[in-house]
Amino acid sequence: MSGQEKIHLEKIDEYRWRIPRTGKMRVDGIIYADERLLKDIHEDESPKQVANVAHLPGIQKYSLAMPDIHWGYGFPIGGVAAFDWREGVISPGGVGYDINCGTRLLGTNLSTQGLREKIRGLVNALYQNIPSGVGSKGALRLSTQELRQVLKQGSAWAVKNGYGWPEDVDFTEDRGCMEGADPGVISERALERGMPQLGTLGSGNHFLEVGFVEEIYDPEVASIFGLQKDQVTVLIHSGSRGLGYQVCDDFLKKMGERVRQLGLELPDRQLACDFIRSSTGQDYFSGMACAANYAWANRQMLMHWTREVFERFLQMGPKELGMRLVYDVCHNIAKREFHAVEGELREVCVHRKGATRAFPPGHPAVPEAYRSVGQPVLIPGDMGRYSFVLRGTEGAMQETFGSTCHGAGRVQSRTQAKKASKGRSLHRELEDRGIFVMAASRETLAEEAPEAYKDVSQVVEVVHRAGISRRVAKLRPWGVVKG
Amino acid sequence: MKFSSLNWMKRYETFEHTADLGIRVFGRTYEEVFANAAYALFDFLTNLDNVRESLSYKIQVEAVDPEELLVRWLSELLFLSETRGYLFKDFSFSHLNQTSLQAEAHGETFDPSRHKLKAEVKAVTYHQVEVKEKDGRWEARVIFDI
Repeated sequence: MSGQEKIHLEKIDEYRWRIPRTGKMRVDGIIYADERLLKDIHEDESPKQVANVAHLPGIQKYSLAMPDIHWGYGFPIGGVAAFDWREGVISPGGVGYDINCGTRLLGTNLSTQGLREKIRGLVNALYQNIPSGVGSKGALRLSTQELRQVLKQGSAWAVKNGYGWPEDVDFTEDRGCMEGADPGVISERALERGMPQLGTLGSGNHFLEVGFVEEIYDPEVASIFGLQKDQVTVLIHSGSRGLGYQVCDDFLKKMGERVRQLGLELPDRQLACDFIRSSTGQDYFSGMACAANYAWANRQMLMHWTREVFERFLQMGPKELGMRLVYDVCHNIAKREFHAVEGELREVCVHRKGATRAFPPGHPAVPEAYRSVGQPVLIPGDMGRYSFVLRGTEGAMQETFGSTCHGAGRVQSRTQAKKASKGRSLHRELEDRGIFVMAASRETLAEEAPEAYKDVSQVVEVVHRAGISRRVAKLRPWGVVKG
Repeated sequence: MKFSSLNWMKRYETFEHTADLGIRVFGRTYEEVFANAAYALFDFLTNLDNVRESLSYKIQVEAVDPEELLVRWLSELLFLSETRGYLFKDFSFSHLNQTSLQAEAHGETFDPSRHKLKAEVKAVTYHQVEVKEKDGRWEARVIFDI
């Protein structure tokens, strides 16, 4: 974009940059980044978006951005903002279209040694058995009544219907079910879009990846998370599919009307919002919770089929395979949480748009098995390099409303990435690096080329050094299913 | 009013947007911009050379201003495409003003033996949406979340 005003950033320290409050901003903005990442960040309009979010009523402390920040619509991707529950607003654009897009990590009892000869076949079997790609439809045919149960119960619905194990729920953020979900606020259109897509991976940046633990940074924490070097892992990245997109769209329209009624002055239409205590605000919260639950049921089903494929393809039993859910995090969500503001515990609505919850040791929302070390945080990178497992910290609680980064963040647009990969065989290039990819579409593969993304290790370095989460392990991709 | 035979002027171009896809749409008239924006959406979803005009579908949309009307119009088409499998390539309007439209979209239903879906559009965003007249021509911009 040309002709955009450049936002002035003041250096606080090596990893923190302040956008001083000006005009109608209610609070300062803070971006977590180092000098290197800042160069890319300055290329787009995302700092302006951090400043825009600071205009919204009821915002607490700061408008924040994680080091994987990039230009979104309304809120930047990588944005975190908390609003007072009684006086503040909730904004569908602060969550995004793919409500509860998220990541889950499975451990296994397998080592890379045991899988070397079979990885190619295994990835192929996963690709054949797990619905993915543009417009993919699931094998499931649900009635509207059943779909409403999915929206109310999330992961628990999936487990009850045979998709997974009861203990999976214990290792899912919010136990795979957000409170306050009311299917009554979901439009017919959202139901219609969501109905055939439950149990599908989707396309774009969504993936299912077999990988392994390449490096352990913190042996004690890694062992509590059940991770060890050379262990085979599975990472699943998907969300609420068309149901979530439609919920967001429906409420952006409603809130656009409310913004006009209320006479709120917003710097961008996509920032449409309403007060949390208003009926539109409450309805959005209930609808968003439904979409979040849909996404958890979706990832639970994708994981269940992954386990089945491993069992069938490797002819091993579930006990022997030990495909335990390490954790499941969501990175597009608004949550009702308590955080310290001006020395008191305040009820706030934390928006995380392309940001991950990172709760510290001792927090009651962290599963008991991990409570002594903090919540696992899963940071997927691009398909050619690596992904990271981190843990939440007290630093995040104090500075970022218990939040950290969510991934690599794009540096190239999809068109640029496609141009850059013209005439190359990405399949071959990745295979030369020991990574087997099955993709529904060549175009998606090109758009998702590794170099289209920031180096996720730089992003992780910043959050680690800034102390808003700590590195635990590095995962290496091995076999990737792309939508 | 049909615009499919219109070749002398570029209908639209895409612009760079890191996470998503932006389109800048051109038209000699306000109607043409609305038709070309719809064309751009389906051109992105599939190869329109393989789409026949064997069905017509009537669409009505209302909004508070031209920008919202454009977003709602494209969102409506996206919804029909995703849930009913419609692929449209030509658009005509029996009514179109600042805040409402009645249109007929022409195309056919997705057939996996002849059509390929190139990409998924999650939504049509309101982010920096614009519809304006410039030197006697019309231009619009809109960003798709993909």
